[in-house]
Amino acid sequence: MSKIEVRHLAKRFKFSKQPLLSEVNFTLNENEIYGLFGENGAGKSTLMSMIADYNRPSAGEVLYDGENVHENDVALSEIYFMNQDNMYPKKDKVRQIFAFVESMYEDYDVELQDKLVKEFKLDVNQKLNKLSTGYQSIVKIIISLCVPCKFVLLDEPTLGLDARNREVFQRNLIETYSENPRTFVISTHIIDEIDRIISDVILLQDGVIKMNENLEDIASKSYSISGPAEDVDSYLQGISVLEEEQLGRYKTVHFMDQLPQREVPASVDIEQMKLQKLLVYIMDRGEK
Amino acid sequence: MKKKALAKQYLHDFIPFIWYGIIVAIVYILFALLTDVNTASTAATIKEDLKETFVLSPYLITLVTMLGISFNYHRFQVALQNGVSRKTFWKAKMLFIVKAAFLVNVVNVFLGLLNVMMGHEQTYAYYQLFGKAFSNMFLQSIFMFITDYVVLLFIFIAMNTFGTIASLMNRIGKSIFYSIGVVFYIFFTNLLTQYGSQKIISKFYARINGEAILNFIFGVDRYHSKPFALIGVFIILSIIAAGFNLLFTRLEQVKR
Repeated sequence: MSKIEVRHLAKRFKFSKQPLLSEVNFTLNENEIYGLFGENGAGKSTLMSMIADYNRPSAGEVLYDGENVHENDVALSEIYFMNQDNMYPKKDKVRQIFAFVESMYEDYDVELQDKLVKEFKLDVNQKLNKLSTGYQSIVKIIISLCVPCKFVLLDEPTLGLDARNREVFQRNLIETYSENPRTFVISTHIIDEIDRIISDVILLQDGVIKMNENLEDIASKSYSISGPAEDVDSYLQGISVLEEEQLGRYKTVHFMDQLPQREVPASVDIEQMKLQKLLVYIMDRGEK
Repeated sequence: MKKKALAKQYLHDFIPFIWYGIIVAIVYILFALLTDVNTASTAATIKEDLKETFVLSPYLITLVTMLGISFNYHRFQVALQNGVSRKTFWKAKMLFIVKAAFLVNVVNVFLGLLNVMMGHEQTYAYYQLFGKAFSNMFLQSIFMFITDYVVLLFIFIAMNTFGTIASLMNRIGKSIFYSIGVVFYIFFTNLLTQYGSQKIISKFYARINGEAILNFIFGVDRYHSKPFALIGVFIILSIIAAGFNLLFTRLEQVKR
């Protein structure tokens, strides 16, 4: 099983007072779908670009199966980074770009590409620079899903996509993953839309990894309890609460802990906390 | 596989520059002819001017294509996007330059031969130096092609190296880089037009026996000039330029 190890990675841009990333350590295992989250400017794109050897780290290293990815053709051919920038010739028609990518990868999935072109209703005879922002993202999404790479890094893949196309993307991501499992790392701010896809959560804040956990583990210890205020309070006695919302007598409490070992009042509803809520809380707590 | 595919893509993106070069050459010739028409010149002078301006067309095409060769950052982006190391990117670039120089040279040599057929062989640099190298026209044409090709190859690699250096900088860095270039250009052209500096340069050139050295390096001889030495020198220069190109290609490109 292949894996990518990020070890003691740091990045400091010239003339900047603070390092963007100071000590980043984590491992990406094969055939998992990771969600990479963080506030604007947290360094998610930079981190991805360093994994794909676009940018060099100031310190630390990225290893693919124990080998440094820098200047490593074998490793780099297994990592595909869908950048927010347009990296393909802007004046080329979409079909020319697809033909070029096909010529770059031996096992490029042309069938899937044709299927996605139809589902996204993409006009392949248009020039890339004539497409809307959403459709430019779609071109990049199609390529990302069709390249035969073991690790696919998607930086804001749904940027500019309408609700229908976001749905098409999510459905096809799940389908292609089921048929041909590989690792996806998805960086996005629309957490609610991908929390049903991802298996692991990586949260980047203040230059370090604040959270790197399996989604099931997170779900098993983060809950939202709602019901009449007195019932909720009595049930959660002694539990450290993250946040409370109250509307009249009705109260919702979010907390990150094991459920209390006492009987659940009939009036109380227990739900797993929404990932977005949890991440926002952790980010807020990190800032304080 | 990736190296060849990249080189093919780069060549595809480069071909419009050959057309731009041809358009520039046509416009230049037309401008010269329009000036003749305005000054009510005779048919003979117009024909003569056509020949004189036509001589410059390969050089104009080279100039425009040099610009196309120098762009580096977009090529770098395409390479990186498809999981290619900087060394493989450099190899793809070199393969592309070899092909691009060949293509431009085919156009240039064709125009050069037309120029020779129009009776202006003496204005063509190769004929000035090696006009009597071979008595066989076929051999002469082959060596004319090879000589032009290696010179063009060196120019293209050097221009791409220049573009690679420029792509390492952000906009401010580039502005400073180009400004320094312009200042130096103005300084040296001014220097060369000054009688005093011309005298110093000629004196220095004579003292080091510059003409003899250059003639030796380029194999130029009054009676038996052959282009072999020049071809060899430019192959060596191309290898050196390619080495520098690799050096700069390996450096970190600016994140924009």
